[in-house]
Amino acid sequence: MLGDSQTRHRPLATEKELAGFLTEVERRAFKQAVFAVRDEHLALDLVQDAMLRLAEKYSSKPLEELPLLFQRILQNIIRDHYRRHKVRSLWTTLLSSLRGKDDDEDRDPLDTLEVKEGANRLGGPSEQLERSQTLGMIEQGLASLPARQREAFLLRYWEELDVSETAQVMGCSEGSVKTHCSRATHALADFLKSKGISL
Amino acid sequence: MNEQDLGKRIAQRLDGGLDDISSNVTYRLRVAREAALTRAHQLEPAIVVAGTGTLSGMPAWLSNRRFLAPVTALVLAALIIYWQQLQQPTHTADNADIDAQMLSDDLPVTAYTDLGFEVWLREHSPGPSEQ
Repeated sequence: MLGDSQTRHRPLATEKELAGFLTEVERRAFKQAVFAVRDEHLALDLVQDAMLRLAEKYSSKPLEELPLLFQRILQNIIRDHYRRHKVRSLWTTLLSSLRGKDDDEDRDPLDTLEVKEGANRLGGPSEQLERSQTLGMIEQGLASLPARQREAFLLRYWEELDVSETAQVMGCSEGSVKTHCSRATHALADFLKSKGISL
Repeated sequence: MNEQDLGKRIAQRLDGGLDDISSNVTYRLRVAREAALTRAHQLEPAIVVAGTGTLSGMPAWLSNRRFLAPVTALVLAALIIYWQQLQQPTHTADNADIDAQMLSDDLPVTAYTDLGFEVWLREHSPGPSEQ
């Protein structure tokens, strides 16, 4: 992260640049949030929160600092959601244990993930289907990873942050980032192999 | 395939999947973006004023804490040194007066180191009631 003195000498992001930046990252941010919370509506709310916080607190920062700041905000918002969800789950578990078992208790949360049909892609129908299924499996694999591993993997490979930047966003050491990334990649490779998918 | 290659290939597939995001989601993302930009636009004048630091007619560097602390310490140190220097001549003058009185007195200076003189002085000096 750059210090105040360095920031002052750099041109600040204009409104147009901020708009361009948000347009560029919003869909990836949405997907990241979906992988994390497994709910599109909730994911949209989280991304909206992240955009607003960036605009309120950091819109006067130079353009090149925005990706890291935005990722930090988004990951913090997702973590805050986990914390709140954990507390709510605790109360729900306590209350439901008093009421009795729910009918859909055995439902696998991964079943709720939609596999897109990819109707508007180029290529033949069989190719479209194959691509769509592969993507669906990748998304399933990502959603099944532990939160920290998924976070590290997406920041490193999808957001293309380096190890040091990823460590800053995640608030951990560079060694932890490498460990999380390695475990995530191996888990994904095993998952895809078990589904008969090769990339 | 090594870790990095697999990571990049998965990222490529994920990028490809971004086009499949539904128009409803895309619309909501656009609304969220526009709300954020409106917020940034509303805050813009306040940020500019705070950034220049000329609101109170003071240069920006004066309001910076990193400069303020050492400058304050420096000013305090200078004041202490100045005060000490003011005090010093007074002490010197006092000492010089005492030395001059002792040397110009009829009593020789060596008398002050004579124990007998001290006893004599104590015995012959008038008590508080005699004064």
